[in-house]
Amino acid sequence: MGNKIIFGRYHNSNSWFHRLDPRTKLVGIFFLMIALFIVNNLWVLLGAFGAILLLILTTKTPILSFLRSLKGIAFILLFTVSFQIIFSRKGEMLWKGEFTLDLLRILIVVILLVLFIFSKRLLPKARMMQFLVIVIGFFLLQYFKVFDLDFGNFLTKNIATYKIKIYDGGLYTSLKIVLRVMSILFISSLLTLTTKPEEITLGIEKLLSPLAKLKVNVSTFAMMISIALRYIPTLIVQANKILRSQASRGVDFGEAKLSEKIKQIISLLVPMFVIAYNQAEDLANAMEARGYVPQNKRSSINVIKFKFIDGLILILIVGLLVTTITLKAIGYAI
Amino acid sequence: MGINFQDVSFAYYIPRNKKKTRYQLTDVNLKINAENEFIGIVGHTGSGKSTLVQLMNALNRPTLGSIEVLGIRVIRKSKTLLKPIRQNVGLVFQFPEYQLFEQTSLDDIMFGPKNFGFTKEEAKENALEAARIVGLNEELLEKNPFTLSGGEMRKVAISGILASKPKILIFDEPTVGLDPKTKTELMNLLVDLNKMGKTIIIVTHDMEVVSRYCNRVIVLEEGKIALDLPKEELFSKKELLDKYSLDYPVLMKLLQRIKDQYQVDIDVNKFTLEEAYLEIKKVLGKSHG
Ligand SMILES: Nc1ncnc2c1ncn2[C@@H]1O[C@H](COP(=O)(O)OP(=O)(O)OP(=O)(O)O)[C@@H](O)[C@H]1O
Ligand SMILES: [Mg+2]
Repeated sequence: MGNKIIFGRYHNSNSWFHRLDPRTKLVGIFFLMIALFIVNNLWVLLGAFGAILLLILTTKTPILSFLRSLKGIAFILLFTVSFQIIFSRKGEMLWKGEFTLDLLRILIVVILLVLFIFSKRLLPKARMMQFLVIVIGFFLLQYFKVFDLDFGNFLTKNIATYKIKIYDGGLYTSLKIVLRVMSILFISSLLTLTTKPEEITLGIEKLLSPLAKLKVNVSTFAMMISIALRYIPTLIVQANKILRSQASRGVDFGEAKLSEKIKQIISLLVPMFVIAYNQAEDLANAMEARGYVPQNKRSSINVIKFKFIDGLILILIVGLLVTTITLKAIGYAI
Repeated sequence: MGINFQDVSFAYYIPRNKKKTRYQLTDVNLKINAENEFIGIVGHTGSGKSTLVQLMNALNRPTLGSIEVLGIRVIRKSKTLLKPIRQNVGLVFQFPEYQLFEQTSLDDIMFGPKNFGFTKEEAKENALEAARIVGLNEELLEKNPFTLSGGEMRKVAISGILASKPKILIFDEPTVGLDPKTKTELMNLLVDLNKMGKTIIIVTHDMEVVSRYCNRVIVLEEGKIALDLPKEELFSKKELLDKYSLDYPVLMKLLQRIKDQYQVDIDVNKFTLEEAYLEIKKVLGKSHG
């Protein structure tokens, strides 16, 4: 079950992209990311994103697995974007809103909050949506003249006035952030979805092999990476076990004071270190018993081959990167 | 009062489409007393034994159905305080030594009771008592648990559960990785605890242990309770043992062989060496007397 977390991502649909040399993919994707950081023009970014979507289509991997990679940062992204939009003062002003705070509105927000907290219990997954509804509802309130009914001026007495101005600069910046982040996430997902972990490690090993001339032991390094990757799911399973053992000793991981929290984390970390250390030692012994000598040359079951198409694609990508850099250097607003 | 499972099914993972849920346990109905029971849970690997015992102290909560533990009802969405359950139903995991983390063994044993709201003095008192029950040397208590031997570490871990004074004690494969002597010591400890009135539940693959120590046997197969019956009944029905490919205890095998070979009237349902010896002696006495 832990395997799913790291390795379950590989989607075997055997497209042309799957069959590319992992080195091509690693280098290509690295260059593309650099290019994406250099580019700072909305339309170019939009084009790049569109191109990436097209590329994804040709790999026959479900678009859903890409969207899943967004899940982790969706909230941060939304936050950044809203801050950009509200506080940026660049460019022309597009819209100006004034919103006033009075007792009635405070009351309504409190009621909305209560509803929100209450409904969170019923529908924990829809939290985000509800948050949005509240924020939007709050802003809409001032346009509902319904509340301007004369309740006597106590309830509707103005407490404070806030001004919100939205500039097109902020809008552009936030759009660019979204496009760039999504592009980068999607192409890195493209790597893990279309390349087996073994191939990735082998690719890294081969790419680093020139370092051997500098007396860096590349195959040991690659072995370390693949072992580390291999052990992540195992450690997750172990962590889950420790979590459960400590929970049956009365640890309540949900709620605690800071001092207790620290103790709880220690009660998790110390056993994890002990287990990881023991496992590492066992593994080292087992490898040695089976004749693993770090310095020796080893052959690999997976053979990777640099084909014509790999060369073509690399030339294309390098060309793209060089063009981007040159255009930027000359002073084009890309 | 005790533990009462009502139509419990459990799945670790519920997919979006709930109809596709694969349950690790299905339709479990079970009643366990809070006193004096000694239950063995057996079944093939992956049959759901560990999952079942983790439902008993609310580490897992039922996906369907409900469980009542010492008067507290647990359902999937229950927000009730689970600590009283965790305290009264002590669960000792397989390789419990991996849960140790404190500087000294004594501190580690006191960790549970302190979490459950005992004062420091009470916790210490409980810890010392628990250590005495499991036969831990006083001087070991001041040592760092990681410097102890495997068997000693396990004793520390078990004391850590005992010190919270649970009414029901569950052991998930407690004897794995222990030498025969330590294993016997541990099983004798469980017998003592049982005599003190506690209910003991052990998950095991060892039918010798089941035949010797348990009163009641629960056989799990593919997430369902296949059998739940007194030990004597299970071992008197050869077809049941064969059906669930459970091992015969050695003593019973021996008695059965004597019975088949010499056509004597001998009771094969003897689970300890002493009982078996007396039975053979009785039969021998008859034929030689
Ligand atoms: N944390 C978990 N997440 C998801 N699935 C799990 C988890 N723990 C166990 N399972 C699955 O639940 C099923 C029952 O597992 P369980 O550990 O209860 O079996 P068991 O009878 O204790 O086996 P064993 O004798 O090997 O300990 C198995 O199919 C297992 O893969
Ligand atoms: Mg188990």
